[in-house]
Amino acid sequence: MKKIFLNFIVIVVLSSCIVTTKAQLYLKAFTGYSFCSYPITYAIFQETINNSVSAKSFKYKPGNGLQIGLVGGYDINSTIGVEISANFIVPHTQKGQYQFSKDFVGRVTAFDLQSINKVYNFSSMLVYTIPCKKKANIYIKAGPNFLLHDTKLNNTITEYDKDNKIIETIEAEKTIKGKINIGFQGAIGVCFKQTKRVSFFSEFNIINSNYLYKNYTYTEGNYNKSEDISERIIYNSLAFNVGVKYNLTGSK
Amino acid sequence: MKFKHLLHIVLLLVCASASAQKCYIKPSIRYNGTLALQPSPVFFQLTIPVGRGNYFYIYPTGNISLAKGGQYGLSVGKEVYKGLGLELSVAYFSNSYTHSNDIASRNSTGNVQQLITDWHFKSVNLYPTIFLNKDYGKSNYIGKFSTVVGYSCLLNSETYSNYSETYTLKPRISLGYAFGFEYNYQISKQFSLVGECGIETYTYTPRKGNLKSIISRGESVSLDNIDTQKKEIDYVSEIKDYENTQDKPLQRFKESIVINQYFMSLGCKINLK
Repeated sequence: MKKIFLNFIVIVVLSSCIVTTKAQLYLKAFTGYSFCSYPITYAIFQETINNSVSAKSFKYKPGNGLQIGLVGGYDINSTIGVEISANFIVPHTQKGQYQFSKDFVGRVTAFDLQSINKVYNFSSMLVYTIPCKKKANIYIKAGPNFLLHDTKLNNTITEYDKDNKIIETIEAEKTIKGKINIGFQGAIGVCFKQTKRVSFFSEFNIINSNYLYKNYTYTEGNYNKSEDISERIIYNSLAFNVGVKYNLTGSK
Repeated sequence: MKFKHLLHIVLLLVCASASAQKCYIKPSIRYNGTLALQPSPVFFQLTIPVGRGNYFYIYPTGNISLAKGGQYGLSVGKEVYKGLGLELSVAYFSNSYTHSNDIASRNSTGNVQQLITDWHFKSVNLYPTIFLNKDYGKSNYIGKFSTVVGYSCLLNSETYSNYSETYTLKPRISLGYAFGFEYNYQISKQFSLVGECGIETYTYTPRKGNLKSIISRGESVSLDNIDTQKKEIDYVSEIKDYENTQDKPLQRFKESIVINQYFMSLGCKINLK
C-alpha cells in the first residue's frame, strides 16, 4: 500500500517537473481535516439488570482524521486545468470501553476497544477556475477517486473476580482490508496569489465511494483465521484543506 | 399535508426573491440513480404473535438504497460577479422501495417464507448553491457546489406471511452536499434549455417512530389496546437504565438512511428583467 502511495507521489512530482518550461505547471501541498459522514457500527453491548436495560454501541469512522497530500496540476488555459493528487489520512485511533455489571458471583467483564483506520486517496480531476479579483481565484474540480482503506479493530476482554483481581485477559485483533475502489471526488476552493510563484488556497473536498472490503483476518492468541469477504461500506467524507501552490515557472 | 404546506411556503419564498431582483428562475425535472448501497437499517422488529403470549421477532437484512427516483425542483439564481453566481433551489423527492428477505420458517419444517420490507421516503430539499460559469457563444458551462438541507420523513412497513406492521418515522432535518455540472443552451435572451448531472449525498436520522397500523389476516387491528412500548419508539445514541415497562416508549439505537445518488436533470432557464 505504502509502495503504491509513494510511487504515485513520485509520478505526481516527476510529471510536473519534466516539462518545467511550460508556464502552466504547478505543485500543491496541503493538509486538512477530513470528517467521515457515515460511521460503521462494530460492537454493541447490552445488559439487563432488574428489568432495566443499558446498551452502548461502538462505531468507527473510516474517513476521519488529519490528512496530508500532494497535487500536480496543469492549466490548459486560464479557466480549465487538470490535476492529479495523492493524499493519506494519518492513521486515526478511536477508543471505547464498556464494563458489564457484577454477575451473580461478583465477577466483572470489561471490554477495551480500539480501531485504527488507514486511508490512501488518489485522484485525477478536471479543474475549472474563475478569476474573481486580481489576486483571488475561485475554482471547482471533480473527477474519479481511487481509494485504498483498511481497518484494524483491537479488542481486549478482561475478566475480574469479586476482589477485582484479573482472572483472564483475552486479546483479539480483527483486520478488514479492501483493494483500490473507484469513487467520486470533488472540491470547491479559493486560491490567493501572494507572489508570481506562490499562492495559498483553502478548499472543501468531498469523497463518495461504496468501498468493498475483500479480506478479513481474525487473531486471538494462537488462533488465526483469514477469509475472503465481499462487504460494502459507504465511504463518504467531507474535508477542509489549506495549502500552498507553487507555480513551476512563475509566469502565471 | 405538512410536506405540501412546507413546499408551498418555500416555493412562494423562491418566487418572491426571484421577482425582487434581476435574476433567473429555473424549473427542472430530475432523475436520481443509486450511487451506493447501505446495510438495511432496522427501525423496528416485526413482532409475530404465535399464541399463548409468545412472540418471535424478525427484521430485514441485506443492502438497500432509497436514492432512486424522480425529483421536481424550482431554482432562482443570480450571477453576482462575472462568472460567479449564487442559486437557491427547492425540490421534492420521493421514493418507494421494496426489499425482501427469505426467512426459514420458525417451526423448521423447511418452508421458506419472505419478509417484505417497504420503504416510502419523502424529502423537501433546499439547495443553497455557489456556481462558476463560462460562456462560449450560445453555450454556457457551469460547475456548482451545493449544501443540501432537507426535511425528510419515512414510512416503513414489514410484512411476513399475513401479518404486517407499519411505522411512521417522524420528519427531521437532513444535511448533505451536492456537486454538479450544468450545460445551458441559449434559445433567446430570456430563455435557455438546461441539462445537468452530478452527485448528491444527504443523511436522514429519525429520532422518533410511531406505529401507524397493524394488519393481521387482511384486517386492520385496532391500536387502542396496544402498549406504548409497541406504539412509540425513541431512537437514541445510548440506552441508559431504560426501564423495560409497557407504558414507556421503546428505545432503540438510532440509524440513518443515506441518500447517495447521481442525478441527471432537464429544465429551462427564464431570465427575469
